[in-house]
Amino acid sequence: MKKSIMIILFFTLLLGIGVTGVFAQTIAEATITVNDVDLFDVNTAVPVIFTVDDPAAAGELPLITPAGGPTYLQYTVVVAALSTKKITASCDKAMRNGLRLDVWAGAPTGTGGVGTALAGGLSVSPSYVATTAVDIINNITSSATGSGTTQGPAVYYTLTFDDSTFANLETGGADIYTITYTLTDG
Amino acid sequence: MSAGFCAGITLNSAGNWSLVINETDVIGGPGGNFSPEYTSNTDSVTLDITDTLGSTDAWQVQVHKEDGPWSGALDLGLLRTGGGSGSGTITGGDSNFLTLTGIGQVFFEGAGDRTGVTVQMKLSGVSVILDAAVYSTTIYFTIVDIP
Repeated sequence: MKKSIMIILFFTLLLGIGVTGVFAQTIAEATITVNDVDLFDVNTAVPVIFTVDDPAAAGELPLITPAGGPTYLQYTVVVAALSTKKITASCDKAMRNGLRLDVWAGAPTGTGGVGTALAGGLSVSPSYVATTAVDIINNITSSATGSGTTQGPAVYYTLTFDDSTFANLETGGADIYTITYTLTDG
Repeated sequence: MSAGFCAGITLNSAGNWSLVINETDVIGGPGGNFSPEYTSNTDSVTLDITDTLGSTDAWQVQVHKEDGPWSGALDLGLLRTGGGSGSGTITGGDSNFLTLTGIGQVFFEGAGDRTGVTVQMKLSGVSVILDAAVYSTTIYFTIVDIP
C-alpha cells in the first residue's frame, strides 16, 4: 500500500514539469577562419646618401655627411599560435675599402607582437660576403605596425671608416649599395 | 539546421555563418589592420516558430552561445532583421545587435506562428592580434512558452 502511493506522486511531479517548463531549442553555428597574413613593405624608396669629403682641419679624418633616412619597415603579420617571423637584412655587395656601413632597426611599435629589434644589425665591411642575411628584428607574432609615413620600426644607416682597410680608401665614383629586407619564418 | 519540439511549439532554424578573413581584408596595405567588425547577410539564419496553440499563444525566444575554439577578444551579436510571416505577432530584437554570452538572454518575443524570421550576425573585436586559426561558437535559440 505504501509503495503504490509513492508511484502516484511521481507521475504527478512529471506532469507538473511538462506544463510549466515548456521550451524548444535549435542551434546555428558561427565559424570564423583567420588565415595567415604576410604583408611587408619599406615605406619609402628615397635613397640614403653619404658623402665623404674634406675634413674641417688638416690631420683630421675626412668628413662623412649623411642625407636621407631613416626608412621605416611596415608589416602586418598574422600567424598561428607559437609561430613567429623575423626580418633579415642583406647587402648586394661588400663595401669599398676604408668604409663600413652599419644598418640597424629601432624598437618596433604598433599593435600586437611587433617583435624585438636585435642589437648589432647588419655590418657591411670590405670583407662582407655579398647577400649574407642578418636578423635585425625577431619574435614577430600577430601584429600590425601601422602604415603611416613614419610608422613601424625605423631603420638607421651609419657610415664609418674601417680601420683595417682605411689605408686603401680611394676617391672617385659613387657606389650604390642595395639593402634587401626580408620578412620570413623564424 | 536543427529543430526542437516540446509541448506543442516547434522552433526550427536554417543557416549558419561562415566567415573567412584573409590578407586581402587588411586595410591600408602593409602595416594596416583588419576591419574591427564584420556582418553576415541579413538573413544568414532563418527561424520558424510553428505549432503554437493560436495567434495569442505567447512565447519568448532566448539566446546564448557555447564556444568551441574562440577568442576572448571576439564578440558575436545578433539582430532580428525581419519578422517573417504568419498569423501571430513578433516584437523586439530588431534595434541593436544583442551581444551573446554563455547565459540566456531574451532576443525577441511574440505570439502565435511566425515563419521566416531572419537574423543577422555581427562579429566585433577583430584585429590582427588574433592567431591564425579557426574560431567557432554554437548559438542556441530557445523558445519558451509564456503562460
